[in-house]
Amino acid sequence: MKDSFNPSIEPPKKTVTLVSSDGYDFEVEEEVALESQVIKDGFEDKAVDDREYLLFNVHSDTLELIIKYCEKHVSSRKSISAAAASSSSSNGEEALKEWDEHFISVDTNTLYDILMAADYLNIKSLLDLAIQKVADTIHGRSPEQIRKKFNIENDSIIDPWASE
Amino acid sequence: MDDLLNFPSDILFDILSRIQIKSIVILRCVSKPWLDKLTDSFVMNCTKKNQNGNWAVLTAAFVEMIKVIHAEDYGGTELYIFSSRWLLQSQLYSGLSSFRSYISYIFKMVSDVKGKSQITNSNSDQINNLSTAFASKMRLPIQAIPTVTFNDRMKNKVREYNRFSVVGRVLDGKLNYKTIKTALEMLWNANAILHMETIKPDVYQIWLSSHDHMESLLKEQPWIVSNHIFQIVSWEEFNESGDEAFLKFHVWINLLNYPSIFLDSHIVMDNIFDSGLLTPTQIKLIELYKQQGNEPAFVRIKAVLDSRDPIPPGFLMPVPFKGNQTQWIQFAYEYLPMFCFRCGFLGHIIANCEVGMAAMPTLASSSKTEDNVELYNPRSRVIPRSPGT
Repeated sequence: MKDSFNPSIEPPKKTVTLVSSDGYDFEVEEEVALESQVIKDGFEDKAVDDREYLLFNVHSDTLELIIKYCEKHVSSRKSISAAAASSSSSNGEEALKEWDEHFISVDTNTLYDILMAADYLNIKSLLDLAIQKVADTIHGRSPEQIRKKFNIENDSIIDPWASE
Repeated sequence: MDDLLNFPSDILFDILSRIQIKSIVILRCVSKPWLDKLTDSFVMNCTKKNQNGNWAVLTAAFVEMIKVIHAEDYGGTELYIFSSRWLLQSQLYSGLSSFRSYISYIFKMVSDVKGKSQITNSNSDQINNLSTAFASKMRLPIQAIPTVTFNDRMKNKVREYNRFSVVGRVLDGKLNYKTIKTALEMLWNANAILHMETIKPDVYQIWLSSHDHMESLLKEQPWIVSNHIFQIVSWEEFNESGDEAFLKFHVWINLLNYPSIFLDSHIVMDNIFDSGLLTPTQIKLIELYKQQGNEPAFVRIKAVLDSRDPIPPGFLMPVPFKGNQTQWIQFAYEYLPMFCFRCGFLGHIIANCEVGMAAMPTLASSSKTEDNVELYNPRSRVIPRSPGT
């Protein structure tokens, strides 16, 4: 309603409130929230003033990271398409990849949280990123290294690496 | 991330599908749960990738694993454990019917691989050795379950272990372990019960400290556990006849209305045998109680009954000194479980009785004093106020 009074001004960005499992509110732009397939699916059915999502499985620390990721992706997508439109050769995609790489370089617990949250929110690109990171983490490790990493007791009857 | 295995299986699957087979094979050595999970996931992985789930693909994957294992230069044991699990898994997933054809197929695959010399850093002899080692260690499924005989030495050990133990159960109800144990500890000497164990539902084995104690407990039956008859038999008896050992139960019978002038154990015995209700072996003990104040005289008999037979109802006895009359001597059972007032069998009540009215014995009616004596009536069951007195 407010908008109609000031048609000249760009309408304020629509926002969505995300509530983390520990009760913190995060106000994010609609566009950013829509990165999550889960939010997107039910989005149109919800009333405009009822755009609040309770994310019971996501802690505020993780949610903050995820919002950061989505914001980055939304903004860089825009800049990439803008760059494509102006046909200037920018390395937007590569820069984003680098950013992702940096973003996902976290300790295993955070990685686990991000992975589970991405799975819960169904953010495909982030899930993909996290899974790849886990795969890279365990790939090519010796069992001993894995045991150390995940704090697993050695109950193996055969341990070809025991002599090492 | 406490453990990779905590991931939902579809995510785990996704992770594993991005890792080389070689790494998976290595990671299986981390721990037993990892071995299980990774084998499952990996086989699933192979079958998922190939929608037909066809075992040739599995075999190809298997051969690839052999290559990996071989390249890593592990011994035969790993290969054996690994391959037997592998075969089991792949059999589960692909429905392989014949191990033999599978093995021969693997040999073929291995020799194919060898022929194409895809294996680096190894010579063909090693592959041959591996194949034969695998074949010799790979067992076909065992047809009959291997068993060992129960030899005399073992029997002796078992007998020794159970020597001073009794097996007991509540005649009808289902009391729990704790109730029974507490009650028994109060009835018997608390220290006498060394150990009590549920050997099957509602049947308990109780270890006692000495043989004498066990004998005396068996002799002093029936034991009453919260108003239920608790039967005990020696372990040996239970071992020989199983549940049949519990068909017989001890019970105290009060003879109501017994004339006080015949209060003599020989007469009582004769009366009972005469009535044909009980045999001499069934009677364990007779107690006579003289009239005391308002309490009439009565006789208390300890008898062993068979729970498959109807319970003896009582008998008529002539009472000459009152003229030509008869007196109905009612048997009143202490703590007897639920039974049928029509047919006298334990285990059901009259409402559920399947014995027709016609089949019922009718008491020859007799007496001028009492017209119709009910063979069984509520007086057939008594719960003494102070047991044993």
